[in-house]
Amino acid sequence: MTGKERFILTLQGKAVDRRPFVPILCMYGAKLIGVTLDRYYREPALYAAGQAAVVERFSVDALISPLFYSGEGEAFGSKLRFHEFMPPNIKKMAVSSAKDYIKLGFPDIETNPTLAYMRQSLRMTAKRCGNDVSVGGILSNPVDLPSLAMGIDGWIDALLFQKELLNEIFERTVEFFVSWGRALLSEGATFLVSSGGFLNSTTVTQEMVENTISPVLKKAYAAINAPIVIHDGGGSILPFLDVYKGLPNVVALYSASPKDNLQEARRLVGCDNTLVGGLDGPTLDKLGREDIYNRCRAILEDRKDDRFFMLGTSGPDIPLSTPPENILAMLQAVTEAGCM
Amino acid sequence: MDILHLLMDKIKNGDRDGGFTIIEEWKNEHPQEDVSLVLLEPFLLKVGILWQSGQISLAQSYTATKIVEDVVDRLIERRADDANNKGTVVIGNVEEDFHGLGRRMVSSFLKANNWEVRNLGNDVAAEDFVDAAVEAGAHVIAVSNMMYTTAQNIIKIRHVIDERELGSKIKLAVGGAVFRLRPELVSEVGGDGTAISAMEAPKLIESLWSLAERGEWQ
Repeated sequence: MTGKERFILTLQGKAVDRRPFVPILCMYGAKLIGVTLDRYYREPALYAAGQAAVVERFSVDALISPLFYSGEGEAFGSKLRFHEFMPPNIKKMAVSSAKDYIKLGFPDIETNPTLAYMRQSLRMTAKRCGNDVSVGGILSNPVDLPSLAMGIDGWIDALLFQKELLNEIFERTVEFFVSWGRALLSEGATFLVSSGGFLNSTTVTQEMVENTISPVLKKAYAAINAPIVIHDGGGSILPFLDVYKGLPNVVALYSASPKDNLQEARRLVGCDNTLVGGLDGPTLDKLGREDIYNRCRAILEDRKDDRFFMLGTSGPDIPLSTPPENILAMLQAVTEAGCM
Repeated sequence: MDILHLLMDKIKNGDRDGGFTIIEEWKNEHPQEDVSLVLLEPFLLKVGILWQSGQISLAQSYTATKIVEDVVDRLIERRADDANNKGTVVIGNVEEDFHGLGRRMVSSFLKANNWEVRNLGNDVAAEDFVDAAVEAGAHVIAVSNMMYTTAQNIIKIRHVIDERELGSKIKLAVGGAVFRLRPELVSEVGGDGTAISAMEAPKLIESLWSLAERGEWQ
């Protein structure tokens, strides 16, 4: 059974030879092929080579396009700073307020250089690995998008206290999300991963989710003719799973925060949505190999009767300082847990 | 239900106006001097603890700081000539840092403790910090920063202070998540001190201010 078959069959709740293994190793590919991150996040061929190395080394069952939200910010005019050991982040926002954001020109999906890097990275990755594993496109959802051009402070202020501006902003971000999502699908993505920065309980409230965020996502997701996975954004989306599960085209949701109770997550999403659960990605370098193996076995034991479950990592990328043995310990747990 | 519970209830749904109204009503029935000590500080402390332990969201923390800002701004309007003013502190996020929540909380605590705050916002250049401090006669610059990479930009502020030979007159307070994780970073970036939470910031500022008034080097 290929990784691609394993991934698709699990989304359908069908039997597989082992659980899909879907850690977030976008950046880690650079380590495996020995290139610096400033090149990796600019040269699509390097990204695709890195992802091919991820498949070869760790037998993952799905890959995604670069987890490069700051790159989307760059496309809107924000300035980036590159680092030796972490993905680029934004050093200067394009604008400082929601009022300025409304006046901001949106990037041309066909010609913007940073978006072109992401498209080509995805196309090359799908070409190299798409027969063996599922390849998805990751993108900022229409609620997260403004924060990449105006900063978290400015955006949370607008979401809470400048509601008169929101309709106009969301009209534009939904349109961009749909166009950008369709572009990623045209490059070979078979599913989309929607960011979760302003969807999780670390950032927003139940009231915001129900009255502001959910209607925007509903409109945006309905216009995408492909399966959508909702990422956790580095916080827990568990309190809102029951809201997100019913959004159009959503087939899988992350509930991988170590604090999340997977039984509760399953109860909230019902029995026919896939859950991605597992360990916290950004701190995977802090745990020992044996500890990781034991934690994963415990998770898999807890989910042993759950056909709609994949083992992965939450939050952003697994750090470069993570020993390969730590990632292999997760794979070993999945392999030994066996068929479903 | 006590006032803190009522306020927590308001921030739960981002009700900034509701929170402000509750405090204004409370103020009518209590001595003015109790507003900071009995109400605002315990409120921000509770919010800070809940935020750090992941029990409330960023949106709720943000609402709380905005409520306190509104109340403090109203208080400042009413006592512009207040003799209790301790002095002006310049505060901002270091160059390339855009995480302003901590700065806002510190700012609120300082105002509640009778400090006048010159808030420069996010992504502030080193020269701008020092120019603002000289202009305002501030003995302390408080710099907020979240990540390790941007912490390195604080060194630039240290250099400007030293180049202008202001080190005995202007002290550099640093704060933010990275300094709790890596306390050794305070001296590495040229900081004169740090506080483990926004609530502790007034104590740090008073101690650094006092050193600077005496013209002492750290």
